[in-house]
Amino acid sequence: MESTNINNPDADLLYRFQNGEEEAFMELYHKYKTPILNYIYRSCLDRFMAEDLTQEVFLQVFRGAKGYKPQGKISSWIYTIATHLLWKGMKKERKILKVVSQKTSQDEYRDLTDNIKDTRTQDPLGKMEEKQGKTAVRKAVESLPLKQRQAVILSIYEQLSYKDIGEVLDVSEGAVKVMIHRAKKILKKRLSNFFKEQGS
Amino acid sequence: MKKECQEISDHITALADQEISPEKVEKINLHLAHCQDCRHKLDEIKKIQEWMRKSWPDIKPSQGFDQSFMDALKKEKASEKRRTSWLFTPRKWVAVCALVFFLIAGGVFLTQNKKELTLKQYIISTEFELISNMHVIRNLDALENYEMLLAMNEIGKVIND
Repeated sequence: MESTNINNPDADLLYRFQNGEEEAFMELYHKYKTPILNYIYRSCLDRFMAEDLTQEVFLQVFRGAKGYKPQGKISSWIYTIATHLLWKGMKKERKILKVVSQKTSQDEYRDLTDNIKDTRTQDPLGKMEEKQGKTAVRKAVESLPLKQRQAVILSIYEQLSYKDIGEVLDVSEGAVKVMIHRAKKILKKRLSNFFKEQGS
Repeated sequence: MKKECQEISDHITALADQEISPEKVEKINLHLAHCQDCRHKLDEIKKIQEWMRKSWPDIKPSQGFDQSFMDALKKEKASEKRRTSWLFTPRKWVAVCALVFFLIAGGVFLTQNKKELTLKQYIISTEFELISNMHVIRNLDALENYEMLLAMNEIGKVIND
């Protein structure tokens, strides 16, 4: 690996960490902690589990980084660790078949504050419709099978390319394309009523 | 559905995600220019994506998250240090080597002492068995004599009476 890599700042951070600069690891941690937390949270729908697993992801990155030889993107490597820990964690918790939304107290608190704000708006009816739409979309995403949901989450929220998603989920690029296409078809079907109401 | 529309439909999600080759994009755009149905499908996919982003905003790590991670990292570093220090202490290596040596020596000693009996040892052991048997026979003879004496004593008593 080259000593500095301007085009690939993550690889540069990893190289610096491998050479004893612990601050480089902390930079990597601060850069990815929120995306990884959100990826895990949207996949397992459990905030506490997501926080625990996110910490475990970065501990594994810390353990593995010294001997790691980058073959692809560092971000894909971190997402792959997160995916494996997530599958392991969900298997352990027997949550794989659980498709119903699991709202944590914090989410409920956020919804409650949203409701309070809604009542203060100029157009409460319009806001209500918007809120219903948001809930509908969220529930539809949550009801997707785990791998499809992960592919969609990585594509829509984490903005990963199909190639990177394939690496993370250990499937081919073509399989990712099919998974996302199917997932969006399901979403479209489940949300058709809502979109009709919206006049689209 | 037209054959061309079916073909476009298979790529419409990838088009919305900008995951399609420039040549295909050109071809699809040409089709979209005159097909309202496919344009509508693309709009729907884009709308779903937009709603998904809006409906599920990012959460932030909770307040104690960083501190908790730093504590876990500290523990990890300490255990890593313990692991490496145990492995690289010369005294520990000497102890491990000595243990391995004694285990091997003990094994060799035990296997050497597990020989079969020699002919001489076998004869001695069978003779010893014979002597033990003779001793039992002698005891049985003595018992028989004793019983006979008792019987004679009884007969003597009867005669005297």
